[in-house]
Amino acid sequence: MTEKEIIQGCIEGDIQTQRLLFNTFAPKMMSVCLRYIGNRSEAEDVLQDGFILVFRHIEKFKFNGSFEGWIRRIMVNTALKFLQSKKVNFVEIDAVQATFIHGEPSVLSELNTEELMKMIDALPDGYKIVFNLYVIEGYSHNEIAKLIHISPGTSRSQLIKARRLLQKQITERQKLAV
Amino acid sequence: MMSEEFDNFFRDRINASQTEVSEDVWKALESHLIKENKKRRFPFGYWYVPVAAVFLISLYPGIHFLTTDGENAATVKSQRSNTLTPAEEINTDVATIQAPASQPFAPVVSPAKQTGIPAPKKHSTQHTVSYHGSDISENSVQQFIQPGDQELSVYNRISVTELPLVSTAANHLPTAVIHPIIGCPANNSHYEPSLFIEGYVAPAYTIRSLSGGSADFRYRKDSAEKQMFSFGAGIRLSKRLSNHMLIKGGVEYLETREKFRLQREDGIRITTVVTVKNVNGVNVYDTISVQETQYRTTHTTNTYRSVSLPVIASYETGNENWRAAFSGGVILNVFSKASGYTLDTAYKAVSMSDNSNGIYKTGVGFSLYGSFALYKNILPYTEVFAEPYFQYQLSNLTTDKAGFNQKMHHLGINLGIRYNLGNLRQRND
Repeated sequence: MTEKEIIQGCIEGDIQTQRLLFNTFAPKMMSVCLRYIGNRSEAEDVLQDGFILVFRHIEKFKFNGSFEGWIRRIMVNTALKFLQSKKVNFVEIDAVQATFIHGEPSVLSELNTEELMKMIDALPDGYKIVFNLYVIEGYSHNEIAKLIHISPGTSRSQLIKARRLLQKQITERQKLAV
Repeated sequence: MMSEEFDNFFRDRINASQTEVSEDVWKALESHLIKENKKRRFPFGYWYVPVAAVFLISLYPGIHFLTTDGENAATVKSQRSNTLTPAEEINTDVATIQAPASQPFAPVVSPAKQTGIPAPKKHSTQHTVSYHGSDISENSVQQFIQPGDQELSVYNRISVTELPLVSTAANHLPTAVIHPIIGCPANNSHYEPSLFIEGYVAPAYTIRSLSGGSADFRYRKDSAEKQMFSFGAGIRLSKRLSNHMLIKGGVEYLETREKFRLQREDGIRITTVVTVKNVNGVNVYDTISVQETQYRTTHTTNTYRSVSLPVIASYETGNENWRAAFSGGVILNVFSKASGYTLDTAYKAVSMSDNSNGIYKTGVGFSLYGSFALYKNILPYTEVFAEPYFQYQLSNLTTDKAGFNQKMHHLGINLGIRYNLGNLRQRND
């Protein structure tokens, strides 16, 4: 079944095709949700809400870009909306010059995806959101500012802090490895 | 490692990551999707099916009623042809006769000899007589009478051989109906237009009514939401029932906008500064604590859209140039949708578009409608009108679980054009 046929089946409300689409994209999207919402149960709720929106608005997909990218944006927005109902602190910090510690490539390569996910999850909420949006999803600071109602400067400072904390975690692993 | 390399490392590893999803997620989603799929097939719900069926069935007599010129149709009584003598040729040309007011559309056969008007060149035309459901078409009688004329110009050509069809045959056939070929506007007070189409736009001021919930909640909601304006457009058919009464029905769209602004506490930062001074060998600690509260402000423009079916009775009076009408009726809201953010009873900004919040209904119910309209004739068949109105909403916009009741009443003005569709109705003077 082609992507177009799957989309057409979903527009027509065919439950089997909807299941097929869910099975295809749910594991990746669950990973997206978990990156924003560390709690698995809450992430599953967000995943479900996100897929409801996907199926409800699927006829609006215009085939201009990647279908997976379109679903991913819906998931990210749903996750952000969920987080908005919680108090997320975006503490302003002074401009900090990031000091990157030179990590051994071998240590980095030893880190698997699960460990990286855990490291991201360990970040404070504000850092985690900005890091995910900027680094993984590829949003600009201006776009992030509009999305989560903060200033572009706050977005930049949160990203710097996030990088520093992740670097710190990697360095600690490096020391343990030695 | 540079920040770009660092970011790329994470992006490459994370982007393609997958996590197993519990089967329960699909089960919960499936039950929701089954409902959504049904909604997709029946967007207005099942109860609309019988309503739609009744509406469609009722459309047939409605259309028949609106399109049949029952009152304009003239009835030919058999005795009206008794004066004709078979086998006698009558050359009838332009004849001026006095038409009976009660039967202005009745075919009249008048001997031209009585008029004394010189006979112009003979001519004959085609006319169709509908007779007990079947048409009798003969190149025999041409009768076209301007409706409403007291002085009627009749062009007749009756041939000898065809006369029995009108005279003797008609004696056995009590009623024949002639449908006028063209409906012309009345040129005197005995006929007036009976079917119109009206198109209009409607800027309006919206009056919001809040009840239920706590007084503090209503105050905060009022502070957060400021009405901007409403704008509507519609189309109506109106049918004259008597000299002054009209019934109107149609469809209209209304969009109301409001500004939503909510400032919420988003976090507290406490900075403690401890200053140590050594006074005569004794350490003195001076502690200052500064608390900063961070706020997040949500700004949106909320939109309430609705599609409604107005059913209005109207009393109209005036002359050919100016007409005034008082109207009243009900407006059935068949679909409504709210989008944007609103304050819920927990003082949180929640999305109105998300049905799961369940604050606003998708079909509101009834409103009462009252208006005064002025019509000005600008062209043949065409009038412009201005119709200030007030629409009072009877049903709440909000659902029972919203925790508060909200209605929106509208004070506005319909500005539009009324076009006479050409049908005429005899006045009951």
